[in-house]
Amino acid sequence: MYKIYFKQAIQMLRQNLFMSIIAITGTALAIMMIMTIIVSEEIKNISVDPERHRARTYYLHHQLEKDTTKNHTITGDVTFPVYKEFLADMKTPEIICVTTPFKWRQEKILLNATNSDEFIPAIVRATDNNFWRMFSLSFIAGGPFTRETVESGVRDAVISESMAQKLFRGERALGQTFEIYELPYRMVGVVKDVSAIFSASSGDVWIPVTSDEIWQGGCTVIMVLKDKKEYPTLLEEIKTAEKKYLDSRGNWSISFNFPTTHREYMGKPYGQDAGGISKNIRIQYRQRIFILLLLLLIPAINLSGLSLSRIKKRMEEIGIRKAFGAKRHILLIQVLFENLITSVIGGIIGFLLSYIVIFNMRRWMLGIPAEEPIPFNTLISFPVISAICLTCILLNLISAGLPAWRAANFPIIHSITQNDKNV
Amino acid sequence: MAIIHLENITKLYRTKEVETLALENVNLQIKKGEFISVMGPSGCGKSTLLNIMGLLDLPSEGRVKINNIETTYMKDGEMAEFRNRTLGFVFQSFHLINSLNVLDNVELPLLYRKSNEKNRREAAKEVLEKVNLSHRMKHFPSQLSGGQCQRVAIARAIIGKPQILLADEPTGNLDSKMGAEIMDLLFQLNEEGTTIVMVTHDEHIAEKTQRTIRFFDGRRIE
Repeated sequence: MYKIYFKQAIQMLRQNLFMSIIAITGTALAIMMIMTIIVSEEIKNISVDPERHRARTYYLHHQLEKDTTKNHTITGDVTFPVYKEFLADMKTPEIICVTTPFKWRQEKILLNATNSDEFIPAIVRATDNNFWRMFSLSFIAGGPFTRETVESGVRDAVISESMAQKLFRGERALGQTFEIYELPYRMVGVVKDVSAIFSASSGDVWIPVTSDEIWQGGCTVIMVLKDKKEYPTLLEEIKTAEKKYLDSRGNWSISFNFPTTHREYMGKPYGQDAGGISKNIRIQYRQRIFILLLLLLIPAINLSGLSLSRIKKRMEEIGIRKAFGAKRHILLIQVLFENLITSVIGGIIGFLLSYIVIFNMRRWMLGIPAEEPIPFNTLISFPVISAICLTCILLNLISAGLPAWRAANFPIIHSITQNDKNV
Repeated sequence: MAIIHLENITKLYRTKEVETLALENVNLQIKKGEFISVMGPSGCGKSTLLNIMGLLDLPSEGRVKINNIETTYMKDGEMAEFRNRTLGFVFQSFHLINSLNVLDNVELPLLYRKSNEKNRREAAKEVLEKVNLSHRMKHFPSQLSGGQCQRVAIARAIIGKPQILLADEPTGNLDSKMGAEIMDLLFQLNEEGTTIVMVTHDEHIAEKTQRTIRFFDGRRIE
């Protein structure tokens, strides 16, 4: 039965080429808008190397210190001393590390090779040795700095391939030194360039957070859990750390934000305290769902007008089918199936168009530099495939469902004799 | 025994402004294997009668029994199945589906019996041979003449081996030669046992059927 529906749908597309092109174009543009948002979200959140643990990664990025006697508060990013004393030894995370956040729009720090007058702008990430366990950056030469390096504050550095090229112009980079804020750093490793898509791990230079005090004020704690189910245990452990802080500081208390998932963290949640941040995350979710629904509903309603006019032309056929024994639900399925073929063709075109949009608007859509490549392994994922299928089905149901239902319920004799006058 | 039994059938069409009585208190019994023609001037209710007999339209009053089965209270799905198994339709303007080829058009009634593709194909080829159109199976309706379209419509009507064939002016859009061919086909089907009710304006054609019923202003006059 579906084979005949398919043949007929293709034949109808050919017979009504102009209308078919309009319907497919409308569907393609609608799906392009939706998929642009979904694909760009997925690119930012997919779990692939070097950030393969994204799905079970949590971020602690905000602390609020309060003088309980004077009601003074100090809020800001988590500081390295607080991390080291109260959070670093938590047992629930499988891996825990601290790093300065990566904000590519921020002013780049100038580096210069020792004894060179040329200053080169670079993204510098101050972190600890666990960073290299958490993120699988590919080393071309040398290796990461060690725990001992971090503990002793030795100024070792890992550098990206392209930055090494800029600093040392083809010379062997390992062992050479360069300066950040006039302090010398020794190159111990060179890694392949990391796309800015990987916002938790990317950078040009990675140095120990202990190498200079200036890096220790604004940090983010990144934790990977063995299983998401351990989240409540993690919360308990953070509460314990907060209590430990109060016990050690007397009249000062501290509270951290509820650890946010990678997806939530990418939304740059803000707020004065944990409750405020959680509330803003919920608002962000609602806004996204609202935008997606609007993007789905508005074109779907427009397309339903087109579907209705196409179905009106087929009222005689629908009447004949009913006369020869087609039940209402069979007709409904047939019309939806035929329309689904248009939706799928439009869906594939719209899906491909969404990549073109993302590639050309990556600065705005992904928050990365316009010249930054988008790694291939981030482009296709199960959620993206599921989303395109779901969007096609929903768009099909909304745009063709009502016209199909009305046509299937229209009296047979009116369908055959009066054609579309009263639909 | 009557295969079609109409009892006190009245059909009233209502709009906001006007009421039109299409059929008034019609009683009719048609025996199994009969070939009857229905005649009368335009607008006298002939096609309405045929539509009610074919369960394509519902009477405002009265009862329709087909094969001794009361159809008045049938649900939509039951009625669809009943039409599929018991009735075949031939229309004046053929009503073929333009986006399907001849073979797919003919198969249509079997599609709703969940018959498998092989059986459908075989049955369609068989009836197309019967109407001498086996060489046009892959053609679309737009590529056929009027007579050929009507033969395809007849093939579609008989593929499910219905007991009753309802034909609404089957030769109305055809020239006399084509019309004669179609009538030969209908007589052949009647000889094979199919009960046929045909609406016609043509007195000569009606004379050849076993019985003629005449209508005027929604009433049976003969």
